Amino acid sequence: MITLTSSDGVQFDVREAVAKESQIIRDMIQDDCVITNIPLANVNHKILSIVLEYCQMHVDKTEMEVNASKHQTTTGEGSSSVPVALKVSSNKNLNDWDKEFINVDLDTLYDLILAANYLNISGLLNLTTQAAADIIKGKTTEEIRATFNIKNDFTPEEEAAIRKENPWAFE
Amino acid sequence: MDGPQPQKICDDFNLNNDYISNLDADIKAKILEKLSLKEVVRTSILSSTWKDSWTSIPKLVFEEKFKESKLITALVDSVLVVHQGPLKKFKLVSKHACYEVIGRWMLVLSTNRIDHLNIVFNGDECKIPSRFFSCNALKFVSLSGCSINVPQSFNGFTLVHTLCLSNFNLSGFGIDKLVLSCPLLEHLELHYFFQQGCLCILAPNLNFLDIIGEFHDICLETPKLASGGISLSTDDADYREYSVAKDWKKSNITRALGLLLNIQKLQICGEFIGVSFEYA
Repeated sequence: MITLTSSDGVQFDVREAVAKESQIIRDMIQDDCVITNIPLANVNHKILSIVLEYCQMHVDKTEMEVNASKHQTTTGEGSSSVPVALKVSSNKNLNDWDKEFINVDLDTLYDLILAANYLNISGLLNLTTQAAADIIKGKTTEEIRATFNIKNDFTPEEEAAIRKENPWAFE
Repeated sequence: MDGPQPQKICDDFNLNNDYISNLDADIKAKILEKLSLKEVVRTSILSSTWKDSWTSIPKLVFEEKFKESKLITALVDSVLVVHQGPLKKFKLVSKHACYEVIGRWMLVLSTNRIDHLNIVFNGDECKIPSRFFSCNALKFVSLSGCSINVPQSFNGFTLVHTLCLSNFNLSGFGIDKLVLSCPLLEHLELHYFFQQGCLCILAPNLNFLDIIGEFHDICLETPKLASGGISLSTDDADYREYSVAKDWKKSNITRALGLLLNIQKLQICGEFIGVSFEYA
């Protein structure tokens, strides 16, 4: 077990495999194998608990698959049908789970992006930045500004000049 | 009071905060690269902090349909000129061959040490310029609708693990030699091509192979191949004379497929066997 301490002093005891979903923690453990307590100065307990929920789920799913395929080999059953089907359904479940997991408000999404980037959890960074991209998709410029509270600091002339640089994008 | 902690993740967010604009450029690029080029360029008018953000995305995908070839040319040119920072992936889908300009694009791509290149010409065939062969950081190559003339000075793509060629004709080098010049090759797709004589694939690391084409004979030396499909597609009766397994007594089938030590699934169809079956 490894103890992760959030920026606001809350301790989380997690299995090493779960903590190692984070590349920076993986590197720390590799460099110093007796490390048991890791302070995370940039992540508060609220966000850390969400991040760890993600890591826990992904580790569990991976382990389930490995065990299933081991079971398959030891029982000597046919090699094609069961594990493939299991893998497909478990991938589908995980994708559904991810989709549900990332259905959060913008503040939380923003925090999760920063945490995923800081802890270097590539799956979570991909998931969160995809969610942000999905929010932008299909919206007009005005809608994007309103959603993210982006203040338009261009004069109408400046905005028109930028549109003119790439007219095809604004058709 | 706490000292300044840039990018600190804290609870007390002001609801009116513009969070996304203040993200680090590399995180912002990770969001923007998931949008289409049109959507990403449109973010340039959001505010002054967004004006140039889109120009540092590491992946450029040109899939817009244009009626005239000069429009696609102008678009790619204008984007490459303003692009900043590393460029790792380039995808272009066009019905217009852009032969006059694709050479200079390749120069930009090779200078950027591009690793993922995907070019699809689905109208006119395009000649691939020799500069393509100097993109020696490539790992993924997919070309469609191209004629490819391999220069004699070509030293190989030492990092390529995936090579997909479709609707292509190759000169200068045979397919066998091109495959040999990619020592790390794991994934090979060859679709819709004609090869005079034997198609010889010697690739020690290959684990996936898919071939649909016209060829007279085939020989696979791919000991790690796990799955693949081979299909001889021809309407021309002459090719049947050369069929690999036309006469089982004289068949080359053992020489052709006998070295597949790790094969789990191989699908063979088309004229040279006349039946389609799966072998597990």
